Amino acid sequence: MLYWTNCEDFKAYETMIHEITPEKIKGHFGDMVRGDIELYRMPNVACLHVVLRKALGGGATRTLRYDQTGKAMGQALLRMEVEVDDDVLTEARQTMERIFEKYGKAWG
Amino acid sequence: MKKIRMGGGSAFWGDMLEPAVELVEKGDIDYIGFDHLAELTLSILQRVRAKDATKGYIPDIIPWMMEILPPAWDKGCKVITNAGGANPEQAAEEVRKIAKNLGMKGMKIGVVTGDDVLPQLNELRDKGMKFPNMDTGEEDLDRIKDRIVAANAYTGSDSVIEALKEGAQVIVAGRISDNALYVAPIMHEFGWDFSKQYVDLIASAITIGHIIECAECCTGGMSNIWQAVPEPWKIGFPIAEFYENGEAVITKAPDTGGLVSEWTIKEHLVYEVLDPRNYIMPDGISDFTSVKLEEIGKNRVKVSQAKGKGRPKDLKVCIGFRDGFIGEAQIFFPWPDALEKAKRAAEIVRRRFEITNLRAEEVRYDFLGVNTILGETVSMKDLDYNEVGLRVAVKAQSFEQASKVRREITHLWTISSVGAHMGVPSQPRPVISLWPTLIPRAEVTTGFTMKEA
Repeated sequence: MLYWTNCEDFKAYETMIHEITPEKIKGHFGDMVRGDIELYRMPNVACLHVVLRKALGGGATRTLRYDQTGKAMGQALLRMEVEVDDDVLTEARQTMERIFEKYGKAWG
Repeated sequence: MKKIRMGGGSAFWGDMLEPAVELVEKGDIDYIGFDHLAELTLSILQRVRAKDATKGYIPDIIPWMMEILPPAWDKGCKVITNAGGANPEQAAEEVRKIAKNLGMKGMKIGVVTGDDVLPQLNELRDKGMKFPNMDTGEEDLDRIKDRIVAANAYTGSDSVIEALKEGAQVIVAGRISDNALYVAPIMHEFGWDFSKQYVDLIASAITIGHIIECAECCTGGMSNIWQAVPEPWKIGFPIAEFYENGEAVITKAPDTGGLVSEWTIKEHLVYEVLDPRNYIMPDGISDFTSVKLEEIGKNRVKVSQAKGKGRPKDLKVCIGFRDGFIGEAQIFFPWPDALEKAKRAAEIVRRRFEITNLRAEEVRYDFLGVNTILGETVSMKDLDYNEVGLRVAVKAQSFEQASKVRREITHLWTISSVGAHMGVPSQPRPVISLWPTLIPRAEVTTGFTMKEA
């Protein structure tokens, strides 16, 4: 299981829901994910919720993985390459800039 | 409009105490909830109780209550915790003693039980229940029946509400769901029951409980925008201000670190969730795709419009069973050629396991600093690493077999390459695997008793 929230702009959300498919995710994770991949659209919060079945090496308490609960898998998904138009990319970058403008950067 | 304020006091067994005390002292809250139980915890606690019948609860409850009860008593803040674990009765007795010693005469402590279905498991199996595994699809738990150490149902708010009605100021429970720690006080304060008219309102309560039950996780403690989160070392735990119409505002105690924003709440809305259209809890089902989030001020996010369905007919049961041992050890290699040194060391271990006839169910090799947590998504190109670690983990049915990994990693010191160094190797740990399943609600009867300080 994992969650992924990376989108505030609706244009980026539209791109995300069309570009990100279970097949692509499966290819990205390879053997790390043994079960089905389910995608749930949440337009109310501009999220694509990603559920990976059989993806913890047998479950948190008996897995040999260092990341027993799969906390890093959402970050791993951020490295998956998808095709996007330049203006979507620009908007996404602007969103991140706006976030740090609004809340300030306390680190880095 | 009538409202109540609730604080999320703990995300897990081992969480920080200071922010919880701060919540009670400065947060102007009516209730504080403490979740201390993860999936594995009940199995650990059942084992402790089997050795000593006066134990089996979360030991932290004693130091925690010594700090929490005085301000809670002073301010009239009620405390609800699942720290009773595998022995709520004894945990509540300890709380009663603390309250008495601190001079809180007459404090009422409710003990909520009924989640432990281990005693009736065989009886239910005799009735023909097979308890299929929800994760793997395996149909009958017969294979593991002799190795079961704990079986607990995630129970709902019913008995907590009854205890609150009887005037309990502290509630000590076992495996009530994390969510019920917050749904119960809401339903109690507003006089809701499980009839149809309250279904959407209870869905709002479930949504809010879900957001704050992991305490600091929703106040910036686990965020993609971590760089915008100030002073996490003095992070504020969350407060939910819940209104009678089902709307709520999430905030945190004043003058604390952390961040409550549309982002941090959004991130936590989807945390540990399967189908967001059906977030199934013992008290009802909430549709998170209907929820509206609005940032209405600094560190204030309004949550509204949750839609719900009634209570599910089954409850989830988490069964823990003994499943062998895991041994793991690690060693580090320095530049130059750090990754190549580590890869060669992995090959050495593999060959040594053949020579020493390792009998394992599974062996795993990770390169620390390269692919340990990102796994197969990482390219293994040999970059010019400063240092790389090798971690080897083994799962075996016996302690002796699992111990072999420690010996072989130690040998790498003298048969791998120059400059290798390891930390202190640890003993293999016993494994409890989980068997999640369902039980008809009617087979689980919760109840409460009351103690007085």
